[in-house]
Amino acid sequence: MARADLQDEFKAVVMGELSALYRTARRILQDHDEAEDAVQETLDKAWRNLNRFDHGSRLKPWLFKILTNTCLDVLRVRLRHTHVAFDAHDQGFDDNQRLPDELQANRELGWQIENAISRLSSDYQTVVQLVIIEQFSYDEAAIALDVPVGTIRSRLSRARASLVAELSGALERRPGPQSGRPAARLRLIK
Amino acid sequence: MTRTTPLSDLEKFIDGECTPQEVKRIRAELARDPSLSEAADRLDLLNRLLRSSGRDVEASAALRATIARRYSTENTPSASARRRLNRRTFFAGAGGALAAGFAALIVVPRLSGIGDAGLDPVGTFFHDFETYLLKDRALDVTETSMVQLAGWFGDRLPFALPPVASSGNSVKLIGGRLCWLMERRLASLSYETDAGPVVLYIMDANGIETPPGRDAPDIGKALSWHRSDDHTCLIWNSEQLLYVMVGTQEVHKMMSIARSLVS
Repeated sequence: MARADLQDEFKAVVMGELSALYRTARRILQDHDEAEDAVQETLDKAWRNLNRFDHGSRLKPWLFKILTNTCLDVLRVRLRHTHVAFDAHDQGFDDNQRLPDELQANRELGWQIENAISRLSSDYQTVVQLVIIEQFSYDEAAIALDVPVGTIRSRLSRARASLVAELSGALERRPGPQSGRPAARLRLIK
Repeated sequence: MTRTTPLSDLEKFIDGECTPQEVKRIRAELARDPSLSEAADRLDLLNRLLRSSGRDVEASAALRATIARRYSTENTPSASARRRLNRRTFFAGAGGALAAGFAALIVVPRLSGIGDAGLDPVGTFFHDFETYLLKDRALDVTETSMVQLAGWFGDRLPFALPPVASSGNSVKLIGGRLCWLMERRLASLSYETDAGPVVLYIMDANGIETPPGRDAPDIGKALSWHRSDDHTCLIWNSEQLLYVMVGTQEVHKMMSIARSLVS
């Protein structure tokens, strides 16, 4: 692939995956500001090293690999400093009184899910984020996290077992996929 | 009944990782084994719950605008062009979980009616944000009546939409959109003018620290503005709400439009 083509692909992938990059960084770092900085740092690094990119590989997992490494660097630095993590749920936007019941119920479910994910270890959270939420293939996740596919599968399996236990109530209350009703939509309004 | 599909294969199946042969085998077994089918449903539901929750968060407008500019076709990143959002600076004094861009928008120190921000990073960032907002012209609803549009917003907003005119000084309402900036919902009211679009964003001002600005009795409190090469942005407060109006018109024209819509 010509360099110009690769640059075009890079731009397309970046804009298409920007939210996924941000969500993954935020999942790892648990901090909005640091997540945005990590995304920018990642893209800077990737752009500078585009000539080193193996053209036979896929750009998306390569970008996420740089992202996860960048986030790990941030975590390492953070270990050496006192840091107060950003918690999106403690921001005091108490508009619950104004929300319709269904939206309120979905919001509570959203917090429940978020809490369940946050209780997983960092490695498991990242696999859940990439494979389940961002719908990476096992291969792509393996490249992004620089681990064998078997590790992705085993982490995913353990994470699922834990999440099923944590969310058993929600899973029982919700109709199954054969009921004809869609799964909960946490984002009712866009 | 002997189950031949282990849970790990079922997970592969749910994740779309099976070969066509494996899919065929597992489907046949799902049809035969209700307990296996129930386990599959559970895994699928878990996936969908996690997905619906986890994908709720989007990259902020500010990040998207910055990245779009940095990797635009015309511009490739250079050392001079690589400007970070530096939210920590922008966030000073702004409470709550605001979108980074939005926080920057409201605490930009040069904002208070001083004039052009030139090419400094703050001004450039601000320009990006205006550009992003103005380009994002999709409508949830096409409507020329503010009464109807207010009804549409209804419970979708955590505040009552204030009285705003459907038309004013050469502007006409064309529709609205419910926008999200992180956890905050805001109403976007789109107007058309002969000189281009004008978008008025209205949101709960709670937790947002605005620049000092000046009071304009016919518009609102703490009115301030920013003019870039192409866009003008007005910001003011009124009755616990924050108004942000973005358009391509000159400042005096934007003031006139604002006055005709809210006074």
